[in-house]
Amino acid sequence: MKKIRRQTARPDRKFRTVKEIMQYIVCAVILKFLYHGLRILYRHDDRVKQDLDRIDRGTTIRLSCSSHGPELKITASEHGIDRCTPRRCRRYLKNTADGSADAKAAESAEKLPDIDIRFKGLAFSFAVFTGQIGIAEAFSGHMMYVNGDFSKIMSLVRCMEQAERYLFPSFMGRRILKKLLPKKISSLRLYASIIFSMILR
Amino acid sequence: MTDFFEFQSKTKILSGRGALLRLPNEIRLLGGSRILLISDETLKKIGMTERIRSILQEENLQIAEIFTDIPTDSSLSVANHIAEICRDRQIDAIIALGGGSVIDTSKGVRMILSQKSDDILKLSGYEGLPAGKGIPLCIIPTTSGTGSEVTGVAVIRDENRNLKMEFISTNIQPDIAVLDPEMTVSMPPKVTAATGMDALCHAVEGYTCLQKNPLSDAYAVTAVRLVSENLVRAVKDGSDTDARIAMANAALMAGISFSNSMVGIVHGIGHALGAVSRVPHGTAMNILLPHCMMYNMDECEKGYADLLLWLAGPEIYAATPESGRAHACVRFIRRLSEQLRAICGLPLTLSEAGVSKADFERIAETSLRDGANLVNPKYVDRDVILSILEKAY
Ligand SMILES: [Fe+2]
Repeated sequence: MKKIRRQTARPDRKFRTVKEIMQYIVCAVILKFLYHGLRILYRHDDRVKQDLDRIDRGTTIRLSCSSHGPELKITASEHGIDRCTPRRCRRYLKNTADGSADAKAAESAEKLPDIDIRFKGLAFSFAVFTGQIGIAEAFSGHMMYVNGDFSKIMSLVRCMEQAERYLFPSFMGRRILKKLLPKKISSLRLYASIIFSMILR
Repeated sequence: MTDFFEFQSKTKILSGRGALLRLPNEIRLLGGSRILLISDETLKKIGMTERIRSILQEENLQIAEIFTDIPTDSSLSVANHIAEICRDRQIDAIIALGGGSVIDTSKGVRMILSQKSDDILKLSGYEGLPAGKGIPLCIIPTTSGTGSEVTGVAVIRDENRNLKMEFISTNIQPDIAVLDPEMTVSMPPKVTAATGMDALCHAVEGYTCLQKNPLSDAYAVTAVRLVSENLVRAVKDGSDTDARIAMANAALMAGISFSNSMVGIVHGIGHALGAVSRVPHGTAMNILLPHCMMYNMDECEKGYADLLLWLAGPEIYAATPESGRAHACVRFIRRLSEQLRAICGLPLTLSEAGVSKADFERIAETSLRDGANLVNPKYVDRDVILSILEKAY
């Protein structure tokens, strides 16, 4: 909620309705689930591992729910993905004799991501994250745009579809996914692991 | 939300005999005075670039710079290089004369100049490109297939990573497309056949992919009809101007269709075949289309059944039972490919096209990175791609 209060203080980022605030909260929570879910699936589902390994290590990716919505900034790493923070970025920068790695890492975490995926509005990201429509449908329905090397995001999109397979019940999966692939771990176990890793953080 | 669609086709089209003579006036209306002409060595040798120069000169327009050293499949570094020189020479209009690679390179150059960028790689993406500075881009296609003269898509080869980069934005659609049979009449039969099958593939995929809408459908079905009626004629007799004009219109209409509804698995695998095994795009489309249609059959059966009417005509459509129309459509396309092989030797299988089975893994890996597979109506993964490659071998 702290983040929302900060956002409403800005005249250009005002939420107009309670519905928008709810959508913001739901999207923010699901982004967290998605992040932890992908990291856990990286260890348990070889298809997710293969796809995330296709993204060059150190590639920064930002997934934004809208121009003023919650966002997830990640970097491809040996864990599949990591949050893109100065500390994480530092690991991908060579230490320099003058100790400038810190400054570079901070700059790297702040700079424009290599791949920027943005929904054109909170309503669209909400629809995708609550399983009303699939990611492929969101692309084809012009609900999002991408800046950056399009070939690199294909792996990420496939992983997100895999994660949706686990995070949503099968009846929803059948509606939004072109194919229901077999799960490598149970959804229940994934949910438990996600909550566990969220608490640990 | 699913009934929503976007449609844009802003390109002014000059089509038919003598269209080329109207080009200078269009350039002037768009405010071009320092013109860059991008073409290829073959067209330069047969005097086509000189012909454009003289047509412009008659109306007191000068070409400030000519580039003809464009590699097949284009290249990011060539686009960067040309754009750098254009900046120095203060180019304010671009004319592209050639096939797919020349056109895509020119789109790349225009993108770099209008976005005031120094590297085309920074502009890669999907629908995220702002309008930028207006630099008129006129396209004179010398093949009838890519439809690139009207699309908001540029596919340029990244020579370092050996894959084809996609740039997708309505802001890269050209301003003028000039379809003059004078420019396509010298196209060899095999190229005519391959590019024609590319156009057919655009129409079929445009009619069945995820972003299809009533407007793109209208363009797709007319393109299918024009290809069906004119492709064999144009391949058999290149001097048949009516067939040439019809094929040029077909390619353009298929281009408008797929630019708004996207392409699917045929292009997803076809781009990879081009990047890894250097199979010409149209040839890859010709080989893959029936196999990919069979794979997509359960999702696209209704669409393929509809297309039979435009491919085979009302008599055959009416005589075919409803349940058999989609398969009849695939068989019709296969027969068309066989006919083209008999006439001009257009390869029908990957082995005939010189693809090695040892490359299949690499082709599948490259194809998995292609955005076209995402918007294919049916799920695509490595196993699906490998099985289609096996069937097409
Ligand atoms: Fe094509």
